[in-house]
Amino acid sequence: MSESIIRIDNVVKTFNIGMENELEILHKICIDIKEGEFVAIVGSSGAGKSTLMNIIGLLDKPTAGRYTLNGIDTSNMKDDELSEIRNSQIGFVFQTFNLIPRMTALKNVELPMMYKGIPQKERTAKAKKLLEMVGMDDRMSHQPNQLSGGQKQRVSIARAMANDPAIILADEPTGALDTVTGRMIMDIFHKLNKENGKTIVLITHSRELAQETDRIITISDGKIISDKGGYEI
Amino acid sequence: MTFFECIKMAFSSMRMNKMRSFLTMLGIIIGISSVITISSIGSTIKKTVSNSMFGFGMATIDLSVIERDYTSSTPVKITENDMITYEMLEGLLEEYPGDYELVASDYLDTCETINSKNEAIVLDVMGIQPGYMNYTMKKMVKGRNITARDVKETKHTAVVSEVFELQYGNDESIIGKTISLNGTYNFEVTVVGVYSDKKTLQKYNLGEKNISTTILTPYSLVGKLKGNQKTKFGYVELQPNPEVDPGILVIQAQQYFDRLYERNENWEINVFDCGEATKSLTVVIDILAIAFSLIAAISLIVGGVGVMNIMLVSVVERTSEIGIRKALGAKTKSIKRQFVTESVIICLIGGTIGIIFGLISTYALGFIAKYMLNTLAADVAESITLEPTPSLLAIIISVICSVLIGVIFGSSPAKRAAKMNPIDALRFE
Repeated sequence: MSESIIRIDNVVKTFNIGMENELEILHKICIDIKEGEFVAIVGSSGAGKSTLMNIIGLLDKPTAGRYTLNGIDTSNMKDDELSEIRNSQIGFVFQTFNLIPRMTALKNVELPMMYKGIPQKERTAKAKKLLEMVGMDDRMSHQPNQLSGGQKQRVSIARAMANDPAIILADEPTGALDTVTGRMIMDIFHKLNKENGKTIVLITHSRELAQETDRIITISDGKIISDKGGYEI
Repeated sequence: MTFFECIKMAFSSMRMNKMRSFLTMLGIIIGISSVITISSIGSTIKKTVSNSMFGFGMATIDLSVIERDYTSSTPVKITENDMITYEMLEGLLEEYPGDYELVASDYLDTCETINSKNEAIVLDVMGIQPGYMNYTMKKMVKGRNITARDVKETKHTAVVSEVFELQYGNDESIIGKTISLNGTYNFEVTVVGVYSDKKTLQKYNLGEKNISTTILTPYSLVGKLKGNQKTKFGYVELQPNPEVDPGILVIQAQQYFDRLYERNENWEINVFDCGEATKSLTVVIDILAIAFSLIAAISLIVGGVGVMNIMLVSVVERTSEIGIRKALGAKTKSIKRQFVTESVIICLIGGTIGIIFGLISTYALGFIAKYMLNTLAADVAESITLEPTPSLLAIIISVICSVLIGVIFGSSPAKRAAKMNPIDALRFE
């Protein structure tokens, strides 16, 4: 049995605390994800999956509960400490790609390594290798607006892998792509999971995509309603 | 993120918005160039004024015989022995060679001479000391001035005006020619130099051919002709060497005369530097230049506000970029540094362009001023050296100011960017 890499313990997220429109989005969620798992989090829009993803990705802090990432309790961390953990432990793949415009594919992939303080030569070499891995070696000096959706998403996967993170967090990665390119992106994720042993958390509203993964966690109204093929919590 | 990476990033984001970056710089360009121009005008005026003042002989060092105890009730009568003698002055010049020149002049008489066509020309004969030329702002155009040696050895040398050279009408150069002067005194002199005399030359060219000009001969020659070679003075003016600190020259002369008058119970020599008066005028010009530069500096503040405005817009526009950077692990510090670097670079480039423009306008104004001086006041133009002198201090201060404006007006937008919450920033469309 491998170590648990993400441990979410009774996490509650409330917005607009103390105001008239106070809203609890997540109600005491508990999730435990082991290293090397490929997990899909599914739910209809408004179910709270984006909020959950922000918490897993350390972009947002839970109102209550505890989140342990790779054995580190993140509850009382300062913003800059969270930045550091995001930088080295989490690779993000967004639905809208979120590449920085007017920066070449290569520079975009180098960005997380730059913030980690890796020297220029080393990070260029690594970025080239990663772009090669996703089949983008011939478009390294293209800017995002010169790339198709599938190509952009491949660049952002390469960027997510830049600092060898423990987990890859993909938020609707195929949402803006057609079926064929979406398939290609999913294949890359499978490859990263099987060959590189990355833990992948896929957030999607598509049941079809979720079927491909090892484990499906379904969220509705801020609660987990099913956890198929999962482990006991 | 290294400093160099910050700079590279700043340049690439400036390239994204070339027009806007330029317009932001424009405020700084105008501010810096006006500060440079105004302070340069100030320093140019200061230099021109002090040059002309020194040139007009206002910066002489004056020696006067004064009573030691001028409060005493019984006035002492001054005797020949208390006066400054020619030997004393020669001694001073020998002790400090090159530091002082005598400026004394002595008018002899009107003389007549014959030119190459046997026509009579009238000349005014003046005995001079070497310093007389600088003292009266006369410039040599050919040959040499009357030297201390000419005076000491009572040589029969002369410097004539350029009008006389034309009146003499020889095809060869007048230098080296011996001319005889006749009148009350009859003597011969050899021409060693020609001085410029624009005003008379103009009249001569307009047809006034019989104009009389001054011929300059050694001071001692005139003294000898008049029969009073051993002159004594109660008051003497000296032309100081402009390259030596006048303060030192005053002290030197004072010490020299104190030594000579050590035994004189009633009289001593007072050495006075007339250049001091000029200095207080240049201080006034300095103050005016600083005051006007400060007014020009107000436009710098306006430019700085422009930079802040644009940086704020830029932060809002790049909200999602900031969000991405933060998600990927950028710390507060790195985001802040990125935006501050950008505003500092905008200001520095603006400042540099401003300095260049300021220098160009300084030289352009100098050129215009020179032209106007030559057309409107031709007779004095020759004696005024107008040289545009950009103020180096103003340039250095401008560079420092540009950096400071960048930091001060860039840091509040940068702080705003750095404080952004990554999810809010990512969600921003």
